[in-house]
Amino acid sequence: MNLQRLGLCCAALLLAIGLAVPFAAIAQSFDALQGKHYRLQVRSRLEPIALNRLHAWELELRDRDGAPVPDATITVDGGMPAHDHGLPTAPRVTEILGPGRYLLEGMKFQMGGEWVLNFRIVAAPGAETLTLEFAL
Amino acid sequence: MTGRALIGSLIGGLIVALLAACGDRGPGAEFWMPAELDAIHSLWIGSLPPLPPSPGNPVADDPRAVELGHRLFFDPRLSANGTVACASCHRPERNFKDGLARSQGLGQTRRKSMSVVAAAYSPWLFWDGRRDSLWAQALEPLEDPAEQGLGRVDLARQLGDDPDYRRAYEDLFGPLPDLGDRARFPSASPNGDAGQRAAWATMTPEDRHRISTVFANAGRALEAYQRRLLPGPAPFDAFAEALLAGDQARANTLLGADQRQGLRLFVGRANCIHCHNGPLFANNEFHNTGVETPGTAPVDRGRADGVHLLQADPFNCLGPFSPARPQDCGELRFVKSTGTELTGAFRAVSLRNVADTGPYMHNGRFTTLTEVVDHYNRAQPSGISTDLEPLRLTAIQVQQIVAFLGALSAPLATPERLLRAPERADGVSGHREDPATESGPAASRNTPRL
Repeated sequence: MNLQRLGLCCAALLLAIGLAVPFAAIAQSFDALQGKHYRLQVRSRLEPIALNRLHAWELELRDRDGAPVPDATITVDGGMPAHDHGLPTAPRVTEILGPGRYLLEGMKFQMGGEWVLNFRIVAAPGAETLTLEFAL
Repeated sequence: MTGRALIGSLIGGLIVALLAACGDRGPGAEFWMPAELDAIHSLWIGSLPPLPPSPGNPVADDPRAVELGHRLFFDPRLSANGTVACASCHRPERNFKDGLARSQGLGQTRRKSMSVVAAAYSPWLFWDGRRDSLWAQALEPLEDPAEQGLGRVDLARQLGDDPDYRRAYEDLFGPLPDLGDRARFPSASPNGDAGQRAAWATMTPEDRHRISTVFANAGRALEAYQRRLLPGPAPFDAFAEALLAGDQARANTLLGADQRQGLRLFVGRANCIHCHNGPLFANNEFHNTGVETPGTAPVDRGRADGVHLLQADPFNCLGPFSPARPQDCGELRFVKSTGTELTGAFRAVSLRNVADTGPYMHNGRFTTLTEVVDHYNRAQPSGISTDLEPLRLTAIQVQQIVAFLGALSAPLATPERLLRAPERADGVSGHREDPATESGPAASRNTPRL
């Protein structure tokens, strides 16, 4: 194998790795959602997120100054806009894990593709909906 | 990066590198993208996890319960006229379906019988998911007047009167109640015909609970048996193993060119994998695919009704007959019960062994797989909303997908003896091959309840 072919092989390998990563890893870590009143960090307890498995997420809610927001009411809906359907389950916050930290149970995704999640937050600073878009 | 992604990347990279290094760019060369390889890995039977636990069934994996359930499954005595067994509509030689658009028990069922192979993996049972465990599912046909029509009390009596059943039952679940007083324990069932329902109303709540407990336990034995009905590796799986190991030359000897193209469409632009995902080729969730039953009114609302039946079911995971803890009942606790997409939605079922086991869909609307794929391809507007968009596949591509589906057929990974009726102690096979054709549809004195 000459150097040119070796280079081609390496390039192909790197390309393949680059292509493969998004399919498995894209949903593992989400950037914080920044709104007018709140900054919401969400994290799945199931990493990586697998299809057809019921699991929980943890939510960490802070106000615009970075202080944890306790006693918020957070509701979640969403779905797949491309398929015109919502979530397959009815997830809800079931537990307070700590100051500004909430447990969201009942999460499940039954199809690969583009998903949207809307987090409706109501607390002292105001009402706001933050939206997370991701692909599985 | 996860291990899976790393493996996929390395394999994909190796194939790309191999093709590049060898300069094999002829028209016969095939190129699988890493995303396609990842999808193939996810569909491969080696990705099938162990059976999920059945939190409401302490004997789900007890071999003694498997044996009892095996006998119950094939026993036509568990019906009002002694001719209908579970196996009448779930026939081993037909992938545990029956080849009919609507099944024939004592009457005719509302929907098509479903395969019970790998059903233990599904959080939902029936087309509309109105039961949430295989043991709870097994109960409904037993007392449905259109299916086996056996009163709940009569079932308990059958178990007590047959010495083999009594011994097996009591070994697993403890003593059967004494049903000697026929005035106290009449032929009764809360979901039977009018007479059975009226008789049920005369029983005390305590006696109803005793009988329903026996009933639930019979379902648990049936579940234990059906948990052993599992798919085996098919030609697709051998192909996937070779391909994922980087041996494309060998892989190409395991699936034909049309099948490989069908696979590429399946995981790609035909969108099949959206709902038929994972190693069972099923997400077991509910989708409206616009399959209507011509000439029927009202429209079958599918999951929209099924979810409410599920929530009202006393045998569900949270019900009084389930020993499961609430934290073990997540699917039920977080079940989606509202939303327009539930209307006309039915469960996406496994495609393993789908070839030659038609008719297909919840109402048996399509005779062949070509008709099924063509339905998805055309995605004609229907009276009910649908998840589908036209695929715009050519006729050849439709046939390629059908050819690929043929590569999912394989003998079950189940001991042969569990695939036929057990011999009874008196040497008589418990199950007659086809009660519907042998004796004609058993007197249709009943109409389907659902």
